[in-house]
Amino acid sequence: MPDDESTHEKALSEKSLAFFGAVMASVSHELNNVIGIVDQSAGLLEDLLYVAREGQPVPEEKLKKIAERITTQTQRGIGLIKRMNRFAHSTDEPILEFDLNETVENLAELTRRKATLKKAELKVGYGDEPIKITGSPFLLQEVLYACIMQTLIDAEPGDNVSVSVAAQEGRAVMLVEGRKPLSGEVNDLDYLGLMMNRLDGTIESNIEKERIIFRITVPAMGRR
Amino acid sequence: MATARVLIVDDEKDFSGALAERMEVRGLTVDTAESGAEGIEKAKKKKYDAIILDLAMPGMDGIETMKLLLVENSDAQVIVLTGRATVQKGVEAVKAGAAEFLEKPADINTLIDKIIKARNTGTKLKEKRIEDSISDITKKKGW
Repeated sequence: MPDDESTHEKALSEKSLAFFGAVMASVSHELNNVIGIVDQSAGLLEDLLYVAREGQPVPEEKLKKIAERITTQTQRGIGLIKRMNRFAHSTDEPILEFDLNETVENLAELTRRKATLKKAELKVGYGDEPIKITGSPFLLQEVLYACIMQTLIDAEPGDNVSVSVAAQEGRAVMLVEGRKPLSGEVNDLDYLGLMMNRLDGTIESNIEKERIIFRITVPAMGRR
Repeated sequence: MATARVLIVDDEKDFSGALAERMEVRGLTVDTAESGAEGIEKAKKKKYDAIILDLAMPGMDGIETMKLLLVENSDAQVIVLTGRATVQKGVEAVKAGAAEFLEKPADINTLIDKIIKARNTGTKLKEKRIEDSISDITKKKGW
């Protein structure tokens, strides 16, 4: 890691931009799939209308199936846009009060396709009570995303990646656990440490056999 | 009506299902596969004129899938249809053997034109191969 402070700042900014871009690229790709399905389904309805005009009967069941497909994909698209919007607004202010559970859940949903592409499953666990945090939700998501990505580098089909959130003695503790990279090394841990410093938090990584576990902590505001 | 045998390989089965139905209305014979591995299995059993392939699918990498599909169906023309259409991916796909590279969502008529072009290219390649083998035989025989 470079030791000059302005170089650190530049490197951190570049990493943040790359993170934002990676999430946006993944979501826009998925939205493109949604639009593609709606587009082809609408086209199919036009085709069937043409067929009906030519005097061929169109089964009602077929029309029902197309309508259901469009509804399902519209709901999927709305969900994606809501999550993308929440994520984009996490950059609004450098310091915000936010619910950690909601933020982690949102990030996990935005990241899920990355795991799916590796045929791995991303699981998120947290309690019923909100955990209020003051800090940058964007920075925290960046750290979590980097940890999740590291567990996916050499993930194999059927692997589980788990993200759990809990409150412990005035701190929020997040554990990200998955398959360790084949290199056995954790990338950019120094940078992740710098980011966690800005959140008054900590990050540690621990490799146990084939598993890697990241332990991330930040101060919590207590139950509200 | 156009005729061609088409395989659509895409993990979004609602997408491939709707696209397949639209192609069938236009006279094409269409099979679908939800993964690269399933597509390769289908290509082992049947010859296709065109294979519509998404690059971003769970499991096997799209480019690797394409190479294996072309091993099984060497006369098939691969049309990459992806939501992740960057210039870099396009160049990579064409270098690996793709005949066309299209971005989702794609117009059905454009797609049909590409499929017919692919079928004609495949037919020409087959004819060329037959001509070459006849030419080899006649040369060997000294005719």
